[in-house]
Amino acid sequence: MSEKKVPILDVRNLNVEFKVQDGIVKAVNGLSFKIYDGEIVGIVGESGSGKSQTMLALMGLLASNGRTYGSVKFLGQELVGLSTNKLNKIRGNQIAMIFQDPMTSLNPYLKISAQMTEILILHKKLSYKEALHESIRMLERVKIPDAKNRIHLYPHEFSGGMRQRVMIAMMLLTRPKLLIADEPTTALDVTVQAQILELLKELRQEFKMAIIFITHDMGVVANLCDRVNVMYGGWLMETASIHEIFTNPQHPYTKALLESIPSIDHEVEKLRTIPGEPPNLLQLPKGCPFQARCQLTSNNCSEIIPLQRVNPRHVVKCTQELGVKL
Amino acid sequence: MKKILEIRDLKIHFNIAGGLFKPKQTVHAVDGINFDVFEGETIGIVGESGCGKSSLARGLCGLNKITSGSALFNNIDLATANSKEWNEVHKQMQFIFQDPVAALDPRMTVAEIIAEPLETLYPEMKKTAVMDKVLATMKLVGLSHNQINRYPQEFSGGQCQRIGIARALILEPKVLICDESVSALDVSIKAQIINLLQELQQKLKLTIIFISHDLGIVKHICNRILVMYLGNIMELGDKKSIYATPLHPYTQALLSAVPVANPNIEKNKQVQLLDGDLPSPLKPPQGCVFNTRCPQAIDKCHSERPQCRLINQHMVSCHILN
Repeated sequence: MSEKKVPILDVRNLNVEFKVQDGIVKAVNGLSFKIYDGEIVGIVGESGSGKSQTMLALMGLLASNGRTYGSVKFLGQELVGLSTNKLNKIRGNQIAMIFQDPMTSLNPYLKISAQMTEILILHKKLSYKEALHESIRMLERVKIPDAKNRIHLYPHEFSGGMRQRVMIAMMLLTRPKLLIADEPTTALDVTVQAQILELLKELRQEFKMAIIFITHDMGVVANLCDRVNVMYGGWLMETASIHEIFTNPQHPYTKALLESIPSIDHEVEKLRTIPGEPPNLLQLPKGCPFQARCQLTSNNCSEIIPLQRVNPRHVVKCTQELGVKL
Repeated sequence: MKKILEIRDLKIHFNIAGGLFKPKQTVHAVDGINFDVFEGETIGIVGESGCGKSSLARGLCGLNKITSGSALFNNIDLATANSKEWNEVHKQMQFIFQDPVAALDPRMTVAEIIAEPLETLYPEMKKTAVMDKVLATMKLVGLSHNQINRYPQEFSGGQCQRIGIARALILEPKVLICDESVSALDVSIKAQIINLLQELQQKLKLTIIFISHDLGIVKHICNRILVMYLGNIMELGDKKSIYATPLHPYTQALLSAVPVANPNIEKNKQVQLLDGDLPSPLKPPQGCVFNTRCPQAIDKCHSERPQCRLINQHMVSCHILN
């Protein structure tokens, strides 16, 4: 991908905070990244790293005690602070999102047909008949057998994998430019996960959309993504192409994370562990959130942490000498 | 090696009550399985959700009733054991659950939680002796003695799982059943708990029955692997040879579907995609239970259930293999 290309999503210095009884939870801190047309970007991190909240913030779906600061530009349009009315024209239409558990995103009282056609009637102003026809076609595309009849079923009549297919079909109806997938395969079995990943790869080609794929599974990242953002304590620690992150990880957290995963392709005597526990987001330390668990920590780690460029598409946030400071 | 657990034709079925217009139905959770567990080994039970691995584990420690068959442990048949016999079993076989927080009573302190099995099964033991044992066990699993009067909600998930492990180990059991015991934990914490389990196993000479859907972890910690599908054993064998040369079509598909954290392998690998989903355990298919999704199924697979046979050191139940 050439550098001149305009990103479809440009996130700059995004901060997400939640006001709770005990203070302010800093879920996302100074996040900046770009998504280009047609690429699949993985966002990995442990629970509490802020990966889901980032996506909810840019969709304007934060809980009522949440606040967003910074800038999120989608195709040049600023999303932070946009009115709900204007936001509704974009989300579900140009940006779509699928979640971990499809059962909680689908309305159990409505047939799939009602839920799918609603989107087209609302966003594309189609008639019910046209919308139904288009919905059936989309269900067929995501390989739901006997879509013509099954569209008139309720969500509970589908299995977990099928429901996730229905969700994907539903989100693709408006042909979005960007699909945000928040752990869509985590609740599924591996054989079903393999089916869904394969489907997403095909659809990306066909619909020419970018996908942000949130996961904690490095294996899924290696299978699907072109680029990865590694998050920790609400920070973006490292971003690099898929090949770089696995063969040449730079950040101590990324390295430790990769070494602590038991894999089926190689064997180790003892797994590497990261001592301690993830930071408390109510009381983040000054400077790098990983300093308390890092093996290479120094005094500089509690100051301003520089961004460094290792090579053109590989950026790390760390005090060690790793590349050119930005 | 000495057999510690001998399971023969074990079935665990659940009845679903019928209604006025609904016939009674039966869930065939575990449907006639045979295997042995040897002393000191770690046997991994893998399979997708609904394959019966948890039902089996819960059956082995009395949380589910065994419908038929036998499971011999220390000359006690778990299928017919009375409550006195179960007490003996529980002294030597303990369970670690999946959700570390839900498995602990929020109204009990750490000391009370860890001491409970000891107080229940050895009521004659002195209070001070119990407390000494609690402290020793906490140290063993890496908990600090000044945390003794805290409540579970003051701990993180990883620490709660340590409490769960301490509670299981205080009886000095021979067998530990871990049902998805690390699945709910984050990667970095998961590695800590896995290492702890391995250390404890060596120190205490434990036999571990490790149930998981994560094939990477199972490969790391187990000696033998048992692959289950819809209540039946598909394949059982030594870890190395199961991963290197899986024989059963289901094992092959399962292993190829696991994403590996290495883009070079992922880009070049041929995933054997299975069609569809797991059939309902209410109505398992006739013949081989895997025949609805098996790419190599022949006529015989639809009519006759395959028996487990020894092929190349693996126990496999499949018609097409010779």
